[in-house]
Amino acid sequence: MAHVVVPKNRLNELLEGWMKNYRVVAPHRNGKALVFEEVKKASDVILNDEITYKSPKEYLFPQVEKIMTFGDGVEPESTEVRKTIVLGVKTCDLEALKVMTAVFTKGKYTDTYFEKNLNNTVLIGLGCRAEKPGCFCNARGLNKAHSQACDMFLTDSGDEYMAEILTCKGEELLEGLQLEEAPSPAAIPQDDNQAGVLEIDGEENVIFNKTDWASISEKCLGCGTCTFICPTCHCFEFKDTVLEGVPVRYRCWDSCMYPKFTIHASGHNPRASKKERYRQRIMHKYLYVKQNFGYTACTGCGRCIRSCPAGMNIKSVVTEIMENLKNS
Amino acid sequence: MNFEKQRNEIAAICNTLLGEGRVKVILGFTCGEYEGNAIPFFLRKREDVDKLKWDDTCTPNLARYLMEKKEGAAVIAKACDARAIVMYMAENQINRDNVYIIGVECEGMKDKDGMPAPGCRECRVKIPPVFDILVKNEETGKQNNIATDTSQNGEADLSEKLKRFQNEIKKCILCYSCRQACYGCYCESCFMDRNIPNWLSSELDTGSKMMFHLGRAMHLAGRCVECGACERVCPSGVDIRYLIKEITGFCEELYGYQAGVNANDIPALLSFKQNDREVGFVGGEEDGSCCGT
Repeated sequence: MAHVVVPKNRLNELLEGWMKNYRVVAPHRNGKALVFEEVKKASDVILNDEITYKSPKEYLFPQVEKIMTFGDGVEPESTEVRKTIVLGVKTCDLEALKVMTAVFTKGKYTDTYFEKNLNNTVLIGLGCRAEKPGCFCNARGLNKAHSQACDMFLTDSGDEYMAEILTCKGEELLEGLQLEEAPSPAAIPQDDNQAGVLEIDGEENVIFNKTDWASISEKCLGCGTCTFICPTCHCFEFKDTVLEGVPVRYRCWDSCMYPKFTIHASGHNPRASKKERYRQRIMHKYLYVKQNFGYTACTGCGRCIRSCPAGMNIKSVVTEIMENLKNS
Repeated sequence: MNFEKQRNEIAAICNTLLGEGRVKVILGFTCGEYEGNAIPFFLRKREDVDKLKWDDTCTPNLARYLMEKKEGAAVIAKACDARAIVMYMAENQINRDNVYIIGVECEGMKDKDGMPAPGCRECRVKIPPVFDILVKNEETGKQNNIATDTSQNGEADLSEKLKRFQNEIKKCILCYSCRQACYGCYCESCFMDRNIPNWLSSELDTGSKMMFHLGRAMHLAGRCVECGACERVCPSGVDIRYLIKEITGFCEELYGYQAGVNANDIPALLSFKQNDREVGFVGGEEDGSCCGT
């Protein structure tokens, strides 16, 4: 599709126009932290190379989502989803949303809640110019400067953004704005990746049994922060509760790093210690999702590395696993 | 450089301990791969001593790991780590004879921005209250200043306090990192994880967040060793400790107990005296000076 030029001095005008019809979610500063939140003022939006501490996945897969009310004579609640623009999503997060979309919609069943959110969301990507400490998207084979897994992709080129329109949803946003077409689409900047793509490649059984998970996970505190801020973690649980006499069902994020995640009604817990739980996190990200959907569910955003209170580093862990595999 | 000197001393102690086979593992620090900050490190061989790090980024509280390594472990303990160990002893969680404590006098650590780390900012105890061997620091004040921190949070008005609290915890995402990093949160089953009864509503609302933070603060009454781990690990940057600090102040004022400073003291939550003051209790004495009541 087309490439157009969005001068930076017209960005605020664009945003204010969008805010009339959409909820606009973009990185903005909340205290010290940079977070994806609904913005009401165009000037609050921060589009730069910084990375938000949480991923924007919560706008497609909310941390707590009321999914139904039930009971005799209870009117089903309207399930209208607000049309949302998520602006300034980096390549790593776009790639992650590809994984999420596959998990929720490309399997045997379609998750209608996720799908509805997805259909009502316009994703606007933003190219990254430099890797931040902890980032390793390059090692995961991503091009930080470009992705097509969105509706519109912005590339910063000084005084203007080069906008690549990728879908009708993206096109709709720029309708009637009379933006100049880019003379010739700039060449896509390429990232060199000499080291080869970091992934786990091998027999599931061998990796499961031959890796020293106890020593790998020794430092882990089991806090689960990594799963909350991870752009691809998607495990959830259901909670039923009664609100003012009406039974309600919620879907909430859950975390494989918590002991309660796998506890059975009998009291038996198949993943009783952090060794098993950490193994699950790595195996799920690097193996199980790949087996089921064809993607490795780690995009190298580096959030878990930056936020881990114990200094766990998923990149080194995966490297170590692969080295052990080669040597054994 | 003081850190350099201390590091060498610690390294020599580790070498001896591991060389003589007196301990199986030493809990220490090494250089993290990300931004060079210190991360927890388990020394098992003499070669590991080369990787030992001791500088002003050694913030993690290592006492937490003792709960998994109750025997044959040595730990490099700053004053706050040692205070946590004192609490573990007082609460019958570890046996003093089974842990070797390399106490290190500490000048305070720095956070990622080079500012004094949470906990270190208002640190009152710089000399470990318990140790088997002490690594001194010439620059540390000669004595611990264990005077009660009476710098209350300013707001005397309860509704002001509530407003500040609610405003602060808005940022919380209920990931419970603070609980996991805290030395004192070692319950096998946390009240937050219970579903019979369910203490939290399912919504990620202020009520749930208040329930968690107030519940945790109450459980830490007179137990917080002011290491700042909860605040350092919070991914959302919530100022979690100010509430617990206030409770710590009440506890010192009312019951004269300071957590983890003296191994022979009985923790306030574990003792009862007939003349204990009961400010804030239902039917207890009414006293405007404490607890903002």
